[in-house]
Amino acid sequence: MLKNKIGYILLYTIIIFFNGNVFSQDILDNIPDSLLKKSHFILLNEDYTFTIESKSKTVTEVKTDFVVLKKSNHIPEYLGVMYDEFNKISKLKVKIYDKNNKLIKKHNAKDFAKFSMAYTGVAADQGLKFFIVPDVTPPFRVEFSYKVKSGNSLLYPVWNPVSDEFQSILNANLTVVDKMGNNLRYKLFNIDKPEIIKNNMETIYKWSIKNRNYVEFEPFNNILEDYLPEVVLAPKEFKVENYEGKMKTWTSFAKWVNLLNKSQNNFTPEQKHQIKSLVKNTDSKIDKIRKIYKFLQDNVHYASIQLGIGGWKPMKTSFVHDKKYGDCKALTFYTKSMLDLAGVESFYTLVKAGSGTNRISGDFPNAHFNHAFLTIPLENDTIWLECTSQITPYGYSGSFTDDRNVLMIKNSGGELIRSKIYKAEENKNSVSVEIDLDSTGDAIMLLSDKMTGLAIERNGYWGITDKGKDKQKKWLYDNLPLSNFTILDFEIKPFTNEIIPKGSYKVKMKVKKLAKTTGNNLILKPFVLNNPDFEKLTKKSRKHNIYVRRAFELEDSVKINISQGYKLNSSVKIIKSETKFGKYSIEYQESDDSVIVKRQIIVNKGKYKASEYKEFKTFINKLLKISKKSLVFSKSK
Amino acid sequence: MKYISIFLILFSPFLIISQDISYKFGDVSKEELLMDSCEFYSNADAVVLFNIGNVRIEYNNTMGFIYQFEMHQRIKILTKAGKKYANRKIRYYKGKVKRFEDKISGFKAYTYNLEGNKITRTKLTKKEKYYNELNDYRQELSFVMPNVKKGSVIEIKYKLTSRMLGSLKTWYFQDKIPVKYSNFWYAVPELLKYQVNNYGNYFPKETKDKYRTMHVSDYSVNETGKEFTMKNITPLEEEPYMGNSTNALSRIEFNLVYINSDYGYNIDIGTTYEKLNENLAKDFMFGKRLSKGRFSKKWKKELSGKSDYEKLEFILKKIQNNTNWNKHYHFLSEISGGTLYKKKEGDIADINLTFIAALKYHGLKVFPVILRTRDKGIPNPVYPDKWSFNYVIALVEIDGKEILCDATLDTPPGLIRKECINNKGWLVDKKGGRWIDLTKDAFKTVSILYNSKIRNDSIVNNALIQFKDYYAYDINSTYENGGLEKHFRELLSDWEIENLSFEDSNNSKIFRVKLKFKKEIEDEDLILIDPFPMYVDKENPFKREKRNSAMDFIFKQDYNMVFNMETPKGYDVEIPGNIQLKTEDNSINYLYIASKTPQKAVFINKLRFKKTMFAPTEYNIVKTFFEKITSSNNSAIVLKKQ
Repeated sequence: MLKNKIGYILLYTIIIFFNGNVFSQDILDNIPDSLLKKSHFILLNEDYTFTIESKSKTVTEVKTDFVVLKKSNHIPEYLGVMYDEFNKISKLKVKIYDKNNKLIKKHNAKDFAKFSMAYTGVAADQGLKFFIVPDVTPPFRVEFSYKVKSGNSLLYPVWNPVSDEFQSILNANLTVVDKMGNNLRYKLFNIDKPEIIKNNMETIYKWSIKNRNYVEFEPFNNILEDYLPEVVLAPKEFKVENYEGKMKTWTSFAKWVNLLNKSQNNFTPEQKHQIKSLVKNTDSKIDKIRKIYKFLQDNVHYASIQLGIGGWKPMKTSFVHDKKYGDCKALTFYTKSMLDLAGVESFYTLVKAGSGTNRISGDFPNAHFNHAFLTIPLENDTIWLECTSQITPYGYSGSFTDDRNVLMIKNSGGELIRSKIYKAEENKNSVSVEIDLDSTGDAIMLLSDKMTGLAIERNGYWGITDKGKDKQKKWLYDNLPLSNFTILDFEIKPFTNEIIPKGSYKVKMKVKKLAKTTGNNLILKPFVLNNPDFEKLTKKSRKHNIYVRRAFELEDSVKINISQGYKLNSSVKIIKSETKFGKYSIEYQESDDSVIVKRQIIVNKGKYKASEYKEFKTFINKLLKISKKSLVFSKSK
Repeated sequence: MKYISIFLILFSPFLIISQDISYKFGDVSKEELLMDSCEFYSNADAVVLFNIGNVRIEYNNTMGFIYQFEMHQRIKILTKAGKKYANRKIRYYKGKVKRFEDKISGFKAYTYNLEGNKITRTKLTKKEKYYNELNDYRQELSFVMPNVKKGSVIEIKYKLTSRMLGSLKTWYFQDKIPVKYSNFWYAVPELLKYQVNNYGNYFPKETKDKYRTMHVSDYSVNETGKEFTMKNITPLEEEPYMGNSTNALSRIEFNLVYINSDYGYNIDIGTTYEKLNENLAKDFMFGKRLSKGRFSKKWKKELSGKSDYEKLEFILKKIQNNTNWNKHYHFLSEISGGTLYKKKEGDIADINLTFIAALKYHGLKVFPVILRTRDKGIPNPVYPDKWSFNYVIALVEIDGKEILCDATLDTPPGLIRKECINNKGWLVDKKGGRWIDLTKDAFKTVSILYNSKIRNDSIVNNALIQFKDYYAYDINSTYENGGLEKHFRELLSDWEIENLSFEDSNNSKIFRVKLKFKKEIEDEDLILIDPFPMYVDKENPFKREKRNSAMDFIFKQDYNMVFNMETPKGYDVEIPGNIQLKTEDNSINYLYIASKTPQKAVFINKLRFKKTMFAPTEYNIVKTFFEKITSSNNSAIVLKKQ
């Protein structure tokens, strides 16, 4: 992971301010009723001041003052500030007041605990200084202040005075003092343009937020910027240790990355020889990439080492080759350097991996990345190599890095491109089931599940294919959504080593009471395994955009062989629907002793307006409903 | 002879693998490098070939008494994924004063590989060692073994020197990967006495007494100790309803209990619970705190004429409302009584000992009970390990009834934190302490009365739910943070909730909810109704064939549900059969009754747990029980149009 993972924790840490004029008998006195209603947290006042001292030095001073109104998950558990080699934290103070505004206790730096990022990696100089908010009965008030002097100007702060639902703002101010006069860039979400004051050399920017009521998050949208005010700050020019850079364009930022990487390729002649011999007599580009990638996966493993500029600079290639480990930057750069030797052009690529906030956009170059991987343009296609994993199939980028803006570092500069977008048929589960149902409701069930593309990541199948039979069996027992069954036989096949990998498993089992008996009826739900992971939509209206992050397809074929004397009693209609959101269909084939049910669901990736909510809701809820369908078989009289 | 040698060559890997490997540093054999699986655990990505270590006390002229921990380990990497076990960490104590810090010496680490027919070794160099400061007390030496591939063997040896004599380094027999051989000995001089506690599911079978002599200046001092050997230890696996897993790892812990007075000190921390009890009762930070109740004198007026139980309720509320827990866990207190009450903030011990002192001051019969929270594992029943306790609550005796109370949160008398419901706690009383069953009042009760009818093409249900004890507390908290509606929306995801209201009861042990919810009928010729859509188990959590760890349900649970349905005109009603089940020892009971008249159908569903903990040997009983009840809980009523 790159260093700025830390940045995110800092951003989400509640940072608020006190200006000294809110003293009153009761901490809630000056808050309008409109904010008090239903809020869990109110930011009374925050003064956040960010000063750009020079190209490399910045100072952040934060004073914050908030009340907690409810015990809930939407109030800060701790107050924290990130530290690292470049940062100096001072003036850490916390004061806690009861509801009558009487001071309960003052805390300072020595009451803050430390949590090092090294807990999760091999080496790191970053960590969190944090103070756990004590268990005071709400309402109570907290003042928190600190100052950070930083010698790393790569990342300027992101100001989001509140970062969760049910949090309201009474008053919050951001001031940026740019002593360089013209080094600040910013991007705004849900907030007005700043007031700008110029005097002499410095420029001062002021933002303020007053009386902003809380928001409630809505399903199918987890993009913070859609809900809350936010100011993303970034430099024009920056300096980390001795590395100076410009960030006005993606190209200029990429040049800085090149500067860091420049001297890190130092293979020895023997190492070069060894690597070249790997692809000797290999003509095809793809075969060369495959051979190098296999060599990488067989020979190295991931170890996170983030010290100083090492948070951004890869380790030298000869070191990685000899020692056989490295972090994402080191392993990616190493792979790129090996491909260079093999005569295949590839590009070191920065990405914000994982599912959190993504701030990488075309119009606002910044350094909010946390991972590196490799881009290889091929004639008809572009592939990506994840260099930290021993098991990832060749060319598979997966949900960790898919469908987002990534920065490809070229010698000439950088290019922002979109990573792999998986189509519905590249994220597909295809399940076929055969059930021999007896008159007590017990059954012999034969199940086969075939996965394509992203679907191999579901339910832990990804991690189980290379394990022993015993562990695989436990995995099946834990993951099959049936209650009372005994596995008679099974086979779990490994996924294929290709860009769109395929995987599968088969199970034969005896299921007790698969169908429930009521009187002369057997009641059975045909779709237990392969259902969309959605919650039913219940809200009548919608305020924010709707996002379906990834397309997927589910395909089911269930054959039920019924015992003699029973007949399908449920009315079975063919259902078919196709909308812009996707499509679903269900159909039946009945014979004397069996019923076949076929279902297909395709959900498209998409962004929809709040005004389209009604149709979207109908689509999702209908899709869930057909998935819960029960079939009733009754004994003929 | 020729035949024999061919035979040996052909079969030598097998022969030699069955033999013991050499434990000499650097003496790694080809067989170890050729080995490709762990014979006693087929799922291994890596296996510890051996862990050999010891702990002993030494005397050093500049440092005084110190202890030394020696560790020598060899690990075999079996798969590509197993390479992650080449990332190693050694964690140790970081002193505020450099001189008191733990020190690592004699560190050696090598990776061995088989290249062709030759064994190569790669040394871990100085620049590959990282020292991370984890927090104010802990630091670590962190490193990645170089040149590790599938098949490599890594070997590490070091010595740790520490002044922290209070608890010696813990020895783990069990690991995340299988351990083929574990050998450990300790020796301590007679003037120090340690409580040596065994935890986990595995216990060393082979033990040997160990005698040594150590030299302190010109004296020689006798040492005694023990040696333990274990073989083929499988790793711990996660299972549903399991307690804390790191605490289940098999290990040996050492805690100083006694320093001989001849040495100048006279510390007896407690070698038995009786001794611990005696010490705590007079401890300045514990027993002495119980007489600091004078600060509560001002409540006398308000308390006069009240019953003991009312007094308890009043004082508990008072302390709960006027003190804030700083989220620190302790059972010994630094501030209490009036000082704490004024300061308003303290740890578990500060607040609860102050609470006990106040009760005592007003004449109630009350005792402190020390315990371990669930994440710390259960206390050793015979040997006290004083520093493993991290919590203290109050036991109040009123009219022969024992009530557990905790003043650090907002629970009523009788309810303690869920994390405190952990086996047993020790009641400290200067007249003699005793064990207290912490699960005795851990009840969770839900009763639901449903009235159901069919109106306008919909199934319409009215439900009256009563939550009691821990459930009431949980639901009340959910309500207070505004999550009640969401909670029921999730529970009744197939239904549409029309109305939700709750009854605010003065008794915080009961919470009542009224719900109206409905569902459209899909097929009016054939209607299926699920009579018990919430608060019943619909999926069996126990599906695996075997079980290693105990099953811990934490609470004694009680579910009572009645479903009344008005039969719609023009339909035949078909109902599932009745079931009555109980385990042999009567610890779980289940009853499902379905009955009908022409106008009505009435269903009853009752489940009761009288026990919270089930041994792994009871797995099949519990599994089968859950199979039957989940099956029955999924039953449906069938309405057929005539």
